[in-house]
Amino acid sequence: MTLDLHSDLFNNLRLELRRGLLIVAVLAQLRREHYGYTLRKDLAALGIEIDEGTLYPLLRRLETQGLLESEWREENNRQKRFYKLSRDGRAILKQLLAELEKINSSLTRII
Amino acid sequence: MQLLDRYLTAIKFWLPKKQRDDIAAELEANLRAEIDDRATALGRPLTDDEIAALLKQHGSPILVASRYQPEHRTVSFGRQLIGPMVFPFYWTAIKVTLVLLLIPGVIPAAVLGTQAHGQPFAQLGHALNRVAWLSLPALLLVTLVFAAIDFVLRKFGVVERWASDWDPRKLPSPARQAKQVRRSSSIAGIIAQSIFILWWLNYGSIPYVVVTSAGAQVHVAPVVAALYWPVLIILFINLAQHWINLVEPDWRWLPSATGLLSSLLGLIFLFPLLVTSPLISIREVGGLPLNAREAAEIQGILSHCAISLWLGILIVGAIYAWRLVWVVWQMVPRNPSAVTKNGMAHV
Repeated sequence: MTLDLHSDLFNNLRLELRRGLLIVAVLAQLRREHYGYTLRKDLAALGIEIDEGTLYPLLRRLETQGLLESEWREENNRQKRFYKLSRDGRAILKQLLAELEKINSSLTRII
Repeated sequence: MQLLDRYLTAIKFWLPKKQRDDIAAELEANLRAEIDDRATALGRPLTDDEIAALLKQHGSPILVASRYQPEHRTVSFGRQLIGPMVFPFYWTAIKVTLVLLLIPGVIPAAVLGTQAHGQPFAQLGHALNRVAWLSLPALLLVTLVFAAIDFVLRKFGVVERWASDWDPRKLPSPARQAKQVRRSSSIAGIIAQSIFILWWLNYGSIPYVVVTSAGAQVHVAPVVAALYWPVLIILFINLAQHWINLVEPDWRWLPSATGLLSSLLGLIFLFPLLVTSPLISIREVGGLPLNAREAAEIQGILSHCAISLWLGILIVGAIYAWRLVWVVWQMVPRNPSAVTKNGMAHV
């Protein structure tokens, strides 16, 4: 297996692994209200780097699915769209976190 | 913040119409917050180069907009044939193809069915059946064309090249972008021209023979049949224009120039119809022959059609010529000294 192919494969697997976990991270972080940019900054500060091209459309998608709710509000003389977890979102997050913990403990035993 | 306005206008051009303003407003709020944040950290406003670097990192307008498509839908057959970026264009093509097949296929049958004595529903059912059979190869062809486009984009990394080569400083001003050839217009043109070309290739070799109810064969003159290739050439010129404008929407002069060229070619190609007489010949093959009055009537209708078509193209050509002059005139840079500081022009 060449180095390029090896690195492509790793990147694809890494993306797949991160995809679901990023949603959990975003939902968990939105237990407190944020707008797009501050959410990205806070996640980055906590070690979860997520580029804006992924995060901003993801927020809209999660809102369409009913997991988030949003409102336009003025802050520092600028209109911003603030997102927070909806009631359904809270219920789903609880289930996802339980599932994550289960997988994590199983993986720890396997590894 | 002129760069940011130009960037947001370019993204809006590619966004789904319903959410265009909302998505752009949210993007603007986030980008402005990021710019302010960096300016606070540096203790000074960002330079144009720094803003350009930030926007470049954010992604090219078409790529950013593609991430906001309602759903990342794809077409797969074992492996992915059409990816999420090409899918919205493919889906529009499928809908337009179906409409173009349904309207000419079903409406005449429905109208004839209501007028005819007997079985109007049978006529309609027959028409729908025919449309269904025509739709299968047409939809398959559209799918194959878009799968090929998707393959080329992925194989040669076209999107990645666009993403790395683009420069935010080269984006036109919002006012200039507002005058660009609309994406929807280019896509609609590509689909309509492609379908018309396919139809022309299959059925458009201009009917050489029409058999009348009386049993006579009405042949069109060779000069009419010779229009097949010229019409095909004009259709391909127009198809090329729509593709070019999809990639280069800033070339506003191109639709008018192509329209003018097509009209001129149309006038030249159709001119022989005005001077050729007769445009038909009649052969009797069994049944009752056409009498001289009926033959003259058909000849008269065809001559009138040719003259009307020629005049119509002449008028369309004149409109295109005027539009071309107007677009080119607007593109000529004006002398800034002719405008005073308060924006009023000297009279």
